[in-house]
Amino acid sequence: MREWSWWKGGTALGLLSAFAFLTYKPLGVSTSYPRAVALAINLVAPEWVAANAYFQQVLPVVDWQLMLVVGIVIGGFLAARVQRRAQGAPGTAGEAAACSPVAADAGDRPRPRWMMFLGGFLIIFGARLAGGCTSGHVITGMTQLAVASFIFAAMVFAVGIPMARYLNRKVV
Amino acid sequence: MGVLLLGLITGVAFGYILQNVGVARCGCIFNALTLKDLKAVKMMLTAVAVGSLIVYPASALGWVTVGSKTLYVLALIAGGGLFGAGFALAGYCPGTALAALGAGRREVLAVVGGGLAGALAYAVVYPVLEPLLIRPLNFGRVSWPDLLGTNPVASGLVFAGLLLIVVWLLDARDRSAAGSKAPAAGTATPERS
Repeated sequence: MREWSWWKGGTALGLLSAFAFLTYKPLGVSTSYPRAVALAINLVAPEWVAANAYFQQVLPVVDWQLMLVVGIVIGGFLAARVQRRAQGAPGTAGEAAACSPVAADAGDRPRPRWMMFLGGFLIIFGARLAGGCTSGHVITGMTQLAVASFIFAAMVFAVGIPMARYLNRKVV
Repeated sequence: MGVLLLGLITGVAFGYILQNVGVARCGCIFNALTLKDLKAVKMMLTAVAVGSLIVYPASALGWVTVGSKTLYVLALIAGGGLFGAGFALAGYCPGTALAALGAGRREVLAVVGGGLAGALAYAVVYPVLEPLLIRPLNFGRVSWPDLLGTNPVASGLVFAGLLLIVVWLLDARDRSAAGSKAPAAGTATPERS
């Protein structure tokens, strides 16, 4: 099975975003990372969590968004299963090649683990500082016409584009 | 309990969509940032447009409050910049990394692990950063209609229309770029696992 086109995926995601707005609260992901950390540390050092100024805002409780995040993992698993069955072959190589006319270039190559770890560190640190990530700021915040989200999106591309071009030439 | 189940169901649909579109694959994000293939950007902007076309009429009927995000200029500039750098390094955002993990891309554990470390680091330095970056130049939850004095519902619908035009123009650009490189298009790389 080929990957969905951008308009099919975008329409589906827009409908889901509206569904979230109307049923409980708008989509957002990144708060669940500190939430998970708070829950984990709370098992061994609850007094440290209680004393931390940030974890006084992001309390160690299981909430709607944490369940959303668990659901994302399950949804990714289900979609990959359906894709593999449709292809009749294990692995994700076929799905990778189907993405776009330019899929077979540097972007898809596996990169060093330290780079992925550092990238993960920066996306969550940056998202928590800014108060949202691609979901909370770009999809939800731009739908809300929030001035903050336009600044965030502009900064993501202002730094991300030269960074990606540099990596494409030098490292990856 | 009902709210948690609702979150889980919404999340399953979210992950299912991300994986099926292909944005849960680092190459798709990376190609968007190098401007080679704007599929991820076109998808996000389409999602915002479709969401707006439903949310704003619903808000006019009183079914939903649209809300906004807090405008603290310094933290947004710093946070957006760090996020952009991490986005290019990781090739994932916080949501697509989790969908990719579910899809069986075990190397993404490095991204999620880095994210958890980043969350802990942020909690530790928050008392220092809060007075420096979050408290100054904080204008509260400001939206464009607040700033421009326009009707929120009309603004949302006009914005959705503008986004669809932008998406159409970006797609025309992508199609002409793909057309000029036609022989290389669709080349599979079976040796990559």
